[in-house]
Amino acid sequence: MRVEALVARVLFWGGLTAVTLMVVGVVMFAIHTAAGGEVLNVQRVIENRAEGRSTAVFVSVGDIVRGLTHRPVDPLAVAALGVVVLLLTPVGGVVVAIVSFWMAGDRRYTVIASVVLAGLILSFVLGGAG
Amino acid sequence: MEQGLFILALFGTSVAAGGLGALLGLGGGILLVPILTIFYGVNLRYAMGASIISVIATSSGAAAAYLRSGLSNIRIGLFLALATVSGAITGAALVGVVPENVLELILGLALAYSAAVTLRQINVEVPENPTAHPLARRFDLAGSYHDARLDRDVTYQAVRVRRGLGAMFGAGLLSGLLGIGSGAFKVLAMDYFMRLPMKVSTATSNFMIGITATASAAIYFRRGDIHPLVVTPVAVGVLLGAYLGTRLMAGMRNTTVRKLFLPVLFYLAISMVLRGLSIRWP
Repeated sequence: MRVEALVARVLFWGGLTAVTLMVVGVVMFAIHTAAGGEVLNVQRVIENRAEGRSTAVFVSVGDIVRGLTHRPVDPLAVAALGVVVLLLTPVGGVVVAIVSFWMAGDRRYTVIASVVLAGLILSFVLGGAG
Repeated sequence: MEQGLFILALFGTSVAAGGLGALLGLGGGILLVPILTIFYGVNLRYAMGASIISVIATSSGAAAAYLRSGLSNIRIGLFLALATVSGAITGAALVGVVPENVLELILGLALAYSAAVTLRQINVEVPENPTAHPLARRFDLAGSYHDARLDRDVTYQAVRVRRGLGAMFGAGLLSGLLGIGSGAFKVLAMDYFMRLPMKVSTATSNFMIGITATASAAIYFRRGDIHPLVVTPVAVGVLLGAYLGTRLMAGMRNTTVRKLFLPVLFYLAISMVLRGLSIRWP
């Protein structure tokens, strides 16, 4: 298969999985609220970053896993998992491009795509440090 | 605002921004940040976080379609991503050093410049056969696509590769600093500097935007700027809009795309300059 078609497939399915998780999370959250759960004052939370942070913002995979393994499951952890899958989608696309170029014997573009991947990994590491 | 209504309103706005973004090769983020902060009162950091995530969603959806159709050139995209990813990392590292309003001002002026450049060559449908740059030959920065509207195959090759790389580094820098995909600059670098056909520039830009935005978004995520309740309606809306926009684009002429592109560039230029000068607009 052409490298374009393979990368297209990764981007399409990665994006679809991510968005599905995000929608499921927010719908679960809405149902939870409608069923008598704590109602969030959306305006207050989105205007005030300090307030939002304590309620719904996840900053690490560990946070998300804790939210997912907690009973009942934190609906917004499901949405946050979707965000992480979305972040990994272009990374997956570059990885697939590297493998395809390598298998096609295109050394020049194997190297170029690998350097792009190294840059992405560096950004994840730098983000973790900050 | 009531929770459900708020989410639906964000969704609707994002569909419109995403549709326009796909048509122009913009991620739509540059439109979303002002809209979310001005009209919805969303905290700027959350607006930037939602914008950068929507940019990745758009890119994944639109780039998948463009890659399949042969409009996106994956080699040119990855080659230039060397510059945009370096730029994005540099930009993210510089956040907090450069005042934000200075950046907005610079961005506004640069957009105005790119609008003027585009205006000058509005009726050029396909670039005339230029001589390929040595770097373009070495890195195979060429290709062809079938133009449905002109009903013929169009071949192209890149010129002025170094200037294109420089502009791409700048585009990545702005992405890291402002939380946008900076698709306008990627299109500018490919369309104007490297003389690639507008449709190829736009489609390849969509592919690169996702890679560049991921470099910025990883840092935003760790900073706590990604709020699921803001990000989800925005990202899903933009994705749907992008899908509709992509369907529209295939049947249009390059000059039509460019004419659509212009008012958006001018609008963004004015709004960015005014924001930089702290003048509230509209």
